[in-house]
Amino acid sequence: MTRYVLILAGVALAGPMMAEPAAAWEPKGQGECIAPANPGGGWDITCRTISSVLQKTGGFKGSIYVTNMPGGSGAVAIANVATKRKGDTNLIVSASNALTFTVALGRTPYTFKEVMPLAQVGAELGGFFVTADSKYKTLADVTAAMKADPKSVTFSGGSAPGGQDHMKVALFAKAIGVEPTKVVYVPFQGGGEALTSMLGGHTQVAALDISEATGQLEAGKIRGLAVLSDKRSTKFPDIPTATEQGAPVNYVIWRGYYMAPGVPKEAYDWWLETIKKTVATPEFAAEREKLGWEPTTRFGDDFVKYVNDEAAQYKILLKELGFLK
Amino acid sequence: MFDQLLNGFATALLPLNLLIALCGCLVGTLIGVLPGLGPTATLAMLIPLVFSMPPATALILLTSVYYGSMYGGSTTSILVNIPGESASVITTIDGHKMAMQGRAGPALAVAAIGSFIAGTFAVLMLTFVGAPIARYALLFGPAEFFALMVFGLCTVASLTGTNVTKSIIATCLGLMIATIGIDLVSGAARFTFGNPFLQDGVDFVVVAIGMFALTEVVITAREVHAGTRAQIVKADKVWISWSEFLYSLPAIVRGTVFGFVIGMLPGAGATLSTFIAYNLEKRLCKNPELLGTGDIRGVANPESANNAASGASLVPLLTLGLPGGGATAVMLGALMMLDITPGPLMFEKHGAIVWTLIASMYVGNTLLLLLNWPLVNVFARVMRIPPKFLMPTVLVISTIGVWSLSYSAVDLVLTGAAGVLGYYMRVHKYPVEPLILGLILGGRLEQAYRQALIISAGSNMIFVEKPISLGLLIGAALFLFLPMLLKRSKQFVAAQESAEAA
Repeated sequence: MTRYVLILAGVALAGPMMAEPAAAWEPKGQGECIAPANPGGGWDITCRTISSVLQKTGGFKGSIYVTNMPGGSGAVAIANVATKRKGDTNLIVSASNALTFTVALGRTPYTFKEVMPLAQVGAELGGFFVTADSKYKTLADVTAAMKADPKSVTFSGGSAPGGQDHMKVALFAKAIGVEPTKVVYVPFQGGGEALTSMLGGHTQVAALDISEATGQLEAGKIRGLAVLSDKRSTKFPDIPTATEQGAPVNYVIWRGYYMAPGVPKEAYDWWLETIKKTVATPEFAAEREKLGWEPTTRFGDDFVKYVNDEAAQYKILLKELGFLK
Repeated sequence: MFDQLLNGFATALLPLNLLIALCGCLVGTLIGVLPGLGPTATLAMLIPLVFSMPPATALILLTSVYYGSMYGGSTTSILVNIPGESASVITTIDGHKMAMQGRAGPALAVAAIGSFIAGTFAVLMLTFVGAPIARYALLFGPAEFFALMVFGLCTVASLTGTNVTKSIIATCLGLMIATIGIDLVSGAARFTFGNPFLQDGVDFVVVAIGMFALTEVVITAREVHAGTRAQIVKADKVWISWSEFLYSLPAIVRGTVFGFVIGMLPGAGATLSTFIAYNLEKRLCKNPELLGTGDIRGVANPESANNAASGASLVPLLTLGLPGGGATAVMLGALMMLDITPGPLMFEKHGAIVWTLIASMYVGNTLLLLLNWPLVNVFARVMRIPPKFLMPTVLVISTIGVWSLSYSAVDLVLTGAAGVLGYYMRVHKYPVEPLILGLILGGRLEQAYRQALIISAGSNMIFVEKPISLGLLIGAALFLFLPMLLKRSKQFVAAQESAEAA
């Protein structure tokens, strides 16, 4: 309902701004953050967090509103931004690995090269979880079972095969020398359902993000077998990493933003500096802690290279798994 | 526990919170009335608002809107034959006939009363036996869900009672539409024609607005033009009579129980519960042939079922931290934003807020009953608006509802197509309700089937080996074939008798 107003505002603002001198560039008017999902989801929270902290700390003068543009796991939003919002200096779009999958799987004709990746402001760790009374006490137990018979362990996850949670399982299988296509992975709609199925004993190991498992972990109903990262989680330091247990998997979910193509360098640099400063504030740290994010950040060129490399890596892995030809 | 509940009431009854609950109920009812905006969409729109509120107040707002929109959903089903949300599709069958017979008031009233009884029952269960019964939800894995949905689909065979073949054809059409979008299991895009808007599938609202609203508008226009439009009988009373209430009470009770049991299963949802409850009602009540002709029990039963189900879906969420269907998933998102991690420890760690939430559900249900008293009167008057004014308004509001889904012209085109199909179906007497159920269950049905097969390494025996699944499948078979067999045997007996007589 609000969107056409927003687009008009964006178009009206974009034109005159490019003429501003480089040093003194400041955004004028309202800012906008597009969340390519419905309210309440990860991308929505990524937008709302930065917009509230930017306004609280005065990093952005004026208000930043959040527009929800769901559809096709980010495909609708990236198409819209790449074609209709060119050069919009007041617009950022929230993103994560889920968008890399949309790109790598070719579900959108656009890639990170058609837009301007801006920054990663946090990271979420994924892991493997079992019920408290599971026969798998450590990741080594799962490894042993899978080496004996890859089909003896049933994994559940909240994404389609070829998506985020399946990737955790596939990378793990690769790391322990088991053919990834032989793994039994049952896809569910969202981590919550994958967790429920594991709790009910219908599947054995759930591949989730830590934030999805937090409630059950704290209650002691489930046990974390491993986090899939070089470092342990700051919130649950008791869960060992997969690497410690002989399965080197580093699969971290980044949370960040991209901008529309054709944004002038001074505007892009302004956002880069502003987000860099904002992420370092105690206000942002508090939000980050609330969301259970790790303080991993990447900015500008670093981030551009990172996401493009990631898309290329995913493509290779997805080919191995048979999801891409 | 009573202390905590009383404390909860003390917070829920604070003037500000009470006002918020009242506003929430009112807004929820009005939005529920608008075709196209259901509880899930409404909650999603409110999420940004709750960011700036104290947690208890925010949750009170969300639940009261949720409850309100569940109450409001039946209104348009009854008045203009357009379901406000998917859980009120069944209500159109008897509800609209009642309205045409001049009994819109009693229909609306029984929907409100049934919703109140069912909603309150669900909260009582949540308060006193929450966690132990919620555990039964965990018994349902993919195989059991598949069987449950097959059971649900088989009930449509007896929905119209006239032509089983047409029901089955309509169900299959719905299942076919449900295959559009990204397939969850293989990740392949099916029937999307490269359009990103179609990747998420066809929304229920798009099809329902086309099939119910567009079709109703065109048919009304034709009837008015041809002068064949049935005169709406003038209403003689607005509220329900005592004898009508007593007559519908068993239907309310059964709807409540079935709705609660089915609604508690994560993902099964209120819609499925209304279909199953209505068809079980047909098997269990006295004079089942009256259902479908404008019987008040045909409104009382599904409306109780959907409210019991939506209340029940909160039980696993609040007691075990397990999210259920669409609306509870949004609630879950809201809880997390308020820094409340849903999980088994929620009562321990955030006891005050959770008990306030529960208390506010009692308050919300009561407020809605009181609110509906005058509203029934207002809404029942809609029937007096001449069609030439009413129908264009319906058309405009419905179109806005479709547009608001994802601001996509694709949805509007699809609505038009659904309208053409719906018109054809109406003219040729195909029931639309089975198509809607097929569309709603299709995705999950296929998903559950394939999940079960992944778990069983491709063996269909999994559906027979699991007792719950086996039981439901046998029930489904009985539902589908028993009426035919009974009919056959009756014909057989009748033929023999007439042969003997001759």
